[in-house]
Parts: sequence; C-alpha cells; structure tokens
Amino acid sequence: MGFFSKFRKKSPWILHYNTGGCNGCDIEILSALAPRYDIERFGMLNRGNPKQADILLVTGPVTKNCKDVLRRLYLEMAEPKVVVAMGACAHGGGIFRNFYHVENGVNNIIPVDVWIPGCAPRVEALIDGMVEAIEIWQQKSKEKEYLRDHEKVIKTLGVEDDG
Amino acid sequence: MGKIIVPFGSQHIALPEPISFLFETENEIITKVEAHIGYVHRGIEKAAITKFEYTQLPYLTARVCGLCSITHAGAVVHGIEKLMDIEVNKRIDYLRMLVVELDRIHSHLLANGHVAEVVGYENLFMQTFRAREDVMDVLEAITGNRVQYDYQTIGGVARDMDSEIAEFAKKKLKKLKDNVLKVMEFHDSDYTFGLKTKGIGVISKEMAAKYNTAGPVARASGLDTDVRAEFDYLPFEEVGYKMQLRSEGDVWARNMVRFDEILNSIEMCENILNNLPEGEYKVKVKGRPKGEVVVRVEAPRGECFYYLRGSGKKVMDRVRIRVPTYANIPILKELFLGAKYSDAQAIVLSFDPCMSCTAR
Amino acid sequence: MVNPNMQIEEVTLDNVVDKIKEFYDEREWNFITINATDLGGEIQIDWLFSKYRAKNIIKIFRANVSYDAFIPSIVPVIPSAWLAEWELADLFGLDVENATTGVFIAPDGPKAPLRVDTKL
Repeated sequence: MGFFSKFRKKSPWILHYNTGGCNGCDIEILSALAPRYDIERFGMLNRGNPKQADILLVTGPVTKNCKDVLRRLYLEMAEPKVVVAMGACAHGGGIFRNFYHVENGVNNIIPVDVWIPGCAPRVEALIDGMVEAIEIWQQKSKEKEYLRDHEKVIKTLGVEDDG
Repeated sequence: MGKIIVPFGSQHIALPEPISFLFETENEIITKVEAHIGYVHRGIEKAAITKFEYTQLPYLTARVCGLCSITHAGAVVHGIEKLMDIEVNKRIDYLRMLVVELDRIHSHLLANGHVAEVVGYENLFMQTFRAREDVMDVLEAITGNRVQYDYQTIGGVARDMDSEIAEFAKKKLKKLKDNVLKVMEFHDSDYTFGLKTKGIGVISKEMAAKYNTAGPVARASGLDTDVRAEFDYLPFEEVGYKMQLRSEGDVWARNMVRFDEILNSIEMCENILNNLPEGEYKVKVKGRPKGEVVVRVEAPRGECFYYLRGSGKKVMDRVRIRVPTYANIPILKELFLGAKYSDAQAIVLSFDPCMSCTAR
Repeated sequence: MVNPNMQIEEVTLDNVVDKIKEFYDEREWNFITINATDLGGEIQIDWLFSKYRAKNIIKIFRANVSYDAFIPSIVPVIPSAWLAEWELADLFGLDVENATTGVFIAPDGPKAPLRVDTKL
C-alpha cells in the first residue's frame, strides 16, 4: 500500500450518477449526507468530479440515453475504483425490466462490486454498502486485482484498448 | 470577446438527476441555451398499456418519480375510481390527503435545502435536511416506507392509522413547525443569502401566464393557479387549505412560497389528525375501467395531469402523464438568456426540476 | 372525485390553429398539453386547456387524424407548446411543423414507440 492509499481509505470520495431511476434513491443519498445519517463519519464526500472519485454510486436501470455517459464516467475514474449499484432497478431493471428504452441494469454496462437491494433501500442499507465498498477498495488497491480482469472488463465496456 | 460554450450536466454535483444544458456564454452572460431533457426516458407510457394491468398501474406510476410518487399513484387511483364508479368514504379521503400533504412538506424542504446548498450555504442545507427527517419519520410510521409509499390503492389505502401514530405525528409536526420557522426566518433576514437569490431569475406575472407555468413557480410570480382550488379530487378546503402567493417572482420568492406552503400543509395535517372521521379504510371494488377521464392533481411542483382511457379490458388503452416540470421547461429555457452563468445553478434548482417525471 | 366538466369541440387540422387563436386568452386559460391516443388506424389528438379561478372546467379541441397527416404548430399562439409538439413527433412518429426528433428517444431507440402496432 502506497503512502497516499493510507489516507485515501479514510476519505473515499463518492461520484453519484442517476441513470434514469425514479429519484427515490437519490433523495435517500441526500439524506445520507445530512445530519441524521451523516455519511461523512466515514470520510465520504459527494463530489462531482470523476477524476477524483473512488466510489461510483449508480442508481437507476440505465436508459439508452444514459449508458454512454455512465460508461464514460467509469472510464474517467482512476484505478482502483469500486462501483456500487443502488436500488431494485439497478439490479437488472427492476420494475422497468424490458422496457423499450432501458438496458436492464448497471452490470450490462460496467462491472459492479457492491449491490444494495430495495425499492428504495433504507439509508442504513446504503451506509452498509458503502462501508463494504471501502473494504473492497482496500483489497483492490492491495492486490492490484483491478488489473486481473482487465481484458474482460474492456470487452464488456465495448471500448478498444489502444495500449 | 469570444464565445465560450459551457456544458452543465448531465452529471453535475448540483443535479441529483440527469439533465444537460449547453450554455453559450459571452463575458459570463448566457446568450444561448441548448437543453437535453430526455436522459431519463424509460417508456413508462408504453408499458402502462402493454405490460401492466390496471390494478398494477398505481405501483408503476409511483415509480415515475420518487419524490412525488404519492401524487402519481393518487392521480391514477382517482381516475380509475372515476371510470369504475367507486365512491370512497371520508376516512379514505382524509388519509389520502394527509399523506399527500406530508409528501409535499418533505419535497418542498428538499428543494429549499438544495437551493441553499448551491448558493453556498452548506450549513443551511444541513439544517433544512435535519428538519426534514421529522416528516420522513411521520411518513414512515403511517405508510411503512421512507420513499416509495404505495399507499393509495384502488378503492382505499394500503393500511389504516391508529391513534398512537396520530399522537406521534402531532408531536413530530409541532417540532417540525418550530424548525421550519427558524430556517424560514434565516431566509427572510439574511443579507448575503438575499444577494444570491433576490432579483435572480425573475419571472413577471405576465410571463408566467404567457408560458403557462405551474405550481410554486407560478405562485411566486403572483399567478393564482393551484389545482387544489381548481379541481375537486380531495376535500382540501375542509381542512384549511389557503392559496399561497408572492409577487417578486425570483429565486427567493420561489423558496418563500414553498415555505408558506409547508406551514399551510402542517396546519392542514394537524386539522386532519384532529378530525379524522371513522370508517373503513378500504371499500369493495367491482368491474373494469371503461371510458375516458382527465385527472388533475397538485403535485409538490404543480399541476400533474393524467389522461386515462379504458375499454373494459384488464389493460388500459392510453395513459398520458404530463407533469409540472414539463410545463416549466419552456420558461426555464427563456430565463437563462441574459442571466449570469454563476446564477444558472440557483435558477435551475429553484424550479425544483424533476426530470424523471418529465421524460417518464 | 367529481366528474370534470369536459367541453369537447371537434376540429380539423385545417382550422385548429385559428380556432385556438380565437379561443385562447392567456389570462383566462391554462394550456395543459397536447395529447395523442392511438385508436388503431387513426390517431386522436387533443389540445387541452383548463380555466383559471374556476372549478373543474376543461376545454378540449379534438381532431382525428391519419398516421401520415401534417400537424400544424400552435407555437405562434402558445409559445410553451413546443415541448408537447416535439413529443408527438418523437413518440408517435407524426409529422409536426418545425419539430425536432430525438428529445426523448435515443438514436438507437425504437421509432414511434407509442403506436399500437409497434410491438416492443
């Protein structure tokens, strides 16, 4: 573990993106930032910059309009990174499964590490998932695991590696 | 000076959901706007006439939007009950009204907190959200969930309320009222907050009428439109509904109208809790929806319109959803022209935009 | 819920703009939206208005048109109607004056999804 990783695990920054869900999860994320649940206890801050973020928090079933944005946000984030999918519709589409403009879930577009089920998940479940995400993040940065599945990930993303 | 094109969205820290604007700016002043509002389009209207039966429609339309799920489900329920000639009793009406108004309180508090955050008042955002947790507790006690309630069903509500919950709700509402008054006083008196919000994004009454704005945006400009007064779907007048108007039409007035409505809604909720009629919480349902009907209900953001058409089958023939943000997008686009880029965030969020409603 | 007072007026595509122009007063009437319903074979288009400061009054201009009809734009009368018109072009595949497609549907999405014969 490098010098900076030690500090990064104490302050994982979140990048939040709604890919076309109903908004319910997003307002629960806002509640999590507020005093009652206070996710900042774990050093988490919601920041809008993919280049500085460690955890990508995705809600929604991924609409056709959103999928390129989501893919691009994922690619712009620096390794190691963890993807958290929140809500029933992020898990394979939920109630929106097989609608004509929906891509049926986040893991059809990008690889997902942590799933938070529920419609909408409670804030406690969200915090639980985020804490788990930090552990996975630590593991990844220790083992450099993110490089192991590199080719498979590149294939699912559908982008060319210009090496 | 050359022109600079600044993208805003679809992923942005100030936006909880995807919408994107391309601003063409000249010396910080916006000269041209391009908006893309269709990121959240899922195809709910098609699914409502192919995949789902009419009894499942309230659950589907609740997922149009998480913030005003209760109004979407409510509109469908009112429409289908009309098509099936179901009369509900007074207790059901009152319970529905209670949840609708509590939903309005939480939605307005969220909107106001959000505006406070983007004009630079992180602390005010936190205080507003702390106050909001009280109303979330009440909603959770009544409906069983914090966000997606699925409370209104065809012919009644999903669960009854006992006196213990009513006492709990009254206690929480009292505390909420004190907190709201504190936050509101800050909005009213703080000088710096005024500099960021007063006179920004002004809509005159004529403009509001010309562009057919809806909800708090229209009422902040003095246009007296409110579906609760214009359409009979629940007996709001009985429990002390009053229309709240302001005349300034800027970001500040839109926030203040929302605060006025929160206070009015708290009063209504207290009246409902004190005078809850006795009766069953479900009535018998028979038949299938047949015919066409229009329903207008007041969502937290303004008029929510439904057109329903059935032909006696299990699946409806047409479900059309028009939501308040849909009505406010045209004026939002006009409003950016001539505004400073630094005010763009405050203007967008003062409209309390709900894109998942708009694109469906 | 009481029965809304729906005043339905049948119009044709040739006279709808004139009729709305004659009828519409922005201080009295609130333009709600334009709604289309696929009846199978033809499309019913409604221009819906509601009255300010009155109870339950809704005015509907209704026209039944074929799938390839040219829909005139009412934006010169009601400037906020563009979004509803563009939606008609996008979701029903209708030919609407000055409309841009692609507001809701992505380039790889289906065409005219809300028509009855579009099976998705």
